[in-house]
Amino acid sequence: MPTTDEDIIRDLLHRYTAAVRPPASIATEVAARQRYKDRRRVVSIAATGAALGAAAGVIAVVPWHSSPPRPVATGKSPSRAPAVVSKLVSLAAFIQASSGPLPGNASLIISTQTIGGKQMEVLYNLYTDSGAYYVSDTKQGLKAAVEQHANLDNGTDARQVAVARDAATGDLPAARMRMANVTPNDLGLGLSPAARKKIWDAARVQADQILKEKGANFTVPVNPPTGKVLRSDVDNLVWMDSVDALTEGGGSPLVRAGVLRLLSTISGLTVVNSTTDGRSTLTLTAGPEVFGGTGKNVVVINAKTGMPISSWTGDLPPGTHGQPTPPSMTTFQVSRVTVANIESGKF
Amino acid sequence: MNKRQLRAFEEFAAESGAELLRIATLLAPDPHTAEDVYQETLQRLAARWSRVDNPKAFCRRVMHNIVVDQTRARARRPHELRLFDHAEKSDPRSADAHHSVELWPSLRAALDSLTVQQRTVLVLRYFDDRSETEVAQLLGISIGTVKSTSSRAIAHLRDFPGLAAIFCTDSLL
Repeated sequence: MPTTDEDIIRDLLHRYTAAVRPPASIATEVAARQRYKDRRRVVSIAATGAALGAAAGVIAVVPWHSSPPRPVATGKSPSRAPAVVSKLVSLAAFIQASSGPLPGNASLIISTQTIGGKQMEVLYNLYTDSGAYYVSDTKQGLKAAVEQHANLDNGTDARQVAVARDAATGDLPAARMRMANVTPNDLGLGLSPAARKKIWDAARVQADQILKEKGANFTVPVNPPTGKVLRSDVDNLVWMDSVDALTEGGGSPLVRAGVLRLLSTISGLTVVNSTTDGRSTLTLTAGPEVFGGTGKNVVVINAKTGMPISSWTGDLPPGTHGQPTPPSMTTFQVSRVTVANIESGKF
Repeated sequence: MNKRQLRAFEEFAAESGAELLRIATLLAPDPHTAEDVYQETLQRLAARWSRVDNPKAFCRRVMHNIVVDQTRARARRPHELRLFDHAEKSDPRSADAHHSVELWPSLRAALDSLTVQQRTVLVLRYFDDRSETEVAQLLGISIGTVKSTSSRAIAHLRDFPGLAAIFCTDSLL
């Protein structure tokens, strides 16, 4: 029989909830929903045409991607608006020229997500120069994560940042293809047509199976994408991974410069001079040419340093080019720090 | 989320689901909200599965945050009259035949009268058996705050009408 107050409370709480059981279906439903969301994120890998987009999107969702990142040969360079290229490449050059020695040994990115204007989440992300990643929703939690060596990096973040860094000074078409291959895909970039077809066919079998189970009335294209569709797919991958690199390693001028050079290879990207909280900024918009349908992703960066300021996603209102209220927006505060300072709570 | 991750997530939910829903039940004002909190927590976990190395700790933090958000949202709404102040028949917690009628409504009311932080600290300390250090880390507060919050919460329950008697030396339990 419990005697202390603590024991009585412990006993009460356990007895009170003893009969509580979750419906078994909840976890399955949640997992199914998450798979759907994952698919939506990658749907835009393929295709601008609606039917083709839907079908190819399913290819992209096949979660057991068969092809790991591979060395690639560069294809035909996409056409880009000269003004966009010039703006981004000029800023990249300026950032490199004006950067001094890099302080600290990690980038601290404080990201704040709002949905419908309401703050949903603040995350303290620490990306160390050695490739480790720590995250928490509190400062104390981040300190604890570093102390406990709770490194969450799975290799992708480090690869994204490394490719961006190389892109600052290296061969740009090669860097573009490396960035496109940071995350596994079924495009078989840089491989022979026969090898590409083999990878595509394997993914197609699985995708067709999913379509059949879902009762979908369309089929996956027989051949892997080429030409404009392929270019759009690669643009999407380069955009996604480059923006990730910017928000992971944005504390480094080399990474920022590399990201800007990579983004300059994307067709359909618009770059507009803007002002954010009195600061001179550039608004980079990747729209339907990159995402298909009416989707778009907008990233705002500092016009002088290339530092990421905010990112938001949403759909373009049909027939307009207005700026609707972003349904989901993330703002970033980027700084360079030392891991030791984080560990001792000095931030 | 790839196949392997999906399987791992479902295994985690199967293994920890009951425990998580019980915590949600203690944190939320009613069983329906508790189920929503539980489901939303799993959804957020699924979205970050590949980056979360301690899912249990993550879920506890998320549940606390959701309940805080809901409490704030409720505070902004006009006061709602509760139609049922007694335990619902559908409430699985009313399954304890011996004490549900007289005790559970009082306990529910007592928990509801605590602040969200007091309730969370109490649940993590005495239901989840977390140490003061662990609770401090999970909630991002100091150990001293955990101690004082816990102490105030216990004192509040001791004095709460309908519960005071069970804290007497000769426990009625």
